Amino acid sequence: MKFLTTNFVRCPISKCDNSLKAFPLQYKNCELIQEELEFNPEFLANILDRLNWEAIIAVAGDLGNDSLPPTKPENVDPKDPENEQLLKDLHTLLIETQITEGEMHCGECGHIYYIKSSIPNFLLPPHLV
Amino acid sequence: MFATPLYDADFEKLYEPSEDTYVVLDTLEEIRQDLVNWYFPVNTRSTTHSPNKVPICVEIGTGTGIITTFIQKNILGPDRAIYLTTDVNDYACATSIKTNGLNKKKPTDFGMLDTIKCDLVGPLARKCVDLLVFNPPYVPSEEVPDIVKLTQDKKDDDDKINDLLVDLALCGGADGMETTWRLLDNLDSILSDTGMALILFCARNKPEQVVEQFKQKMRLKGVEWKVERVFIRKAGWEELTVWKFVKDW
Ligand SMILES: C[S@@+](CC[C@H](N)C(=O)[O-])C[C@H]1O[C@@H](n2cnc3c(N)ncnc32)[C@H](O)[C@@H]1O
Ligand SMILES: [Zn+2]
Repeated sequence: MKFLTTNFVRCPISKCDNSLKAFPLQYKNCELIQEELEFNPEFLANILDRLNWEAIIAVAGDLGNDSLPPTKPENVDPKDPENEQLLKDLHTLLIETQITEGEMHCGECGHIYYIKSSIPNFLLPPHLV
Repeated sequence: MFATPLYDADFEKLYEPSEDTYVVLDTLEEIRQDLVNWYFPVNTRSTTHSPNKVPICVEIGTGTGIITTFIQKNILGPDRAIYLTTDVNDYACATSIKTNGLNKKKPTDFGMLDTIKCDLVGPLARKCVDLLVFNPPYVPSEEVPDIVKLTQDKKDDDDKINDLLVDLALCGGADGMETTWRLLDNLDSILSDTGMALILFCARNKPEQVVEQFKQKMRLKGVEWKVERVFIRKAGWEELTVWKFVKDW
């Protein structure tokens, strides 16, 4: 599971639908790998718009990375060399970092979802469907 | 003609690309320019249609994943969208990633593709899907096998699990529509405001009736939809169609 994907998933149990604590999930006991991919500054600059930055910071913190800027970088021009370091860091974190094993805890209901062999499993057990 | 993406999998454990899969690929190719114009409009001055800069493309029930790899390579492009595949079958989830790799020139070629094991769109945030594609289990059957069985202890019998997965790829319950209806009933909260869904039906699903019922149900919720058939193929006694769903503002 790529780091970026954590920005789009929440607890799917219906009673957690409207809870602010069901997103982002809390990531625990995670094993990470880096998967090398070409650097694409335009892509990163363009996705900034749709990212929930607080959630990025929270998940990065769960995984032991506290180096992100506290507020979302705005209007980042991918061609400006000044932005290169920022976009490279984001590339390494969002696109190249994979969670291979780990747990995702819902802050509302406490349910734990597991990541195994890089695949997050959100199928619900019978009593929660 | 775009080539069919390469794939390699154990077809006792997941759905082998079939006539319906090719119908979806051919639909995508045929409406390619409309899709590109929809997601990347040249004239961004329009206030009525301003899609997300980087669309999120989700394929439910991905199987081998060739549909998503096809969209990524040939329709929207590897660096212009985020691609997510889902399936209840974890072997399908894993295969969709592997298929993507098989179709790259270099392993490091850029692409943002990920996979999630879940029911339909499972944990995805509300209204985040810009392009939804689903070749569902559409064959009329007595019942839809219970997905919950997949969450129970797997070790007891691999053959039984494989049988269940084969059934899950095909069996759609009453009119073959039970799984698709569960999606349609929530489509308004799954798609973004500029989102689009492409869904495959067979004749026995009675798609014309389904579309009318869908529009009526949604009207009760206060959401109007534009739905049109974008592809039809008769193959022997079977008739497969693909329908496009967008919100009508
Ligand atoms: C007809 S097959 C299509 C496979 C592939 N997309 C293709 O076109 O070749 C249906 C797929 O949906 C998956 N599926 C069935 N029910 C599902 C559900 N509730 N949520 C997600 N996937 C589901 C099956 O495991 C199977 O892979
Ligand atoms: Zn929850």
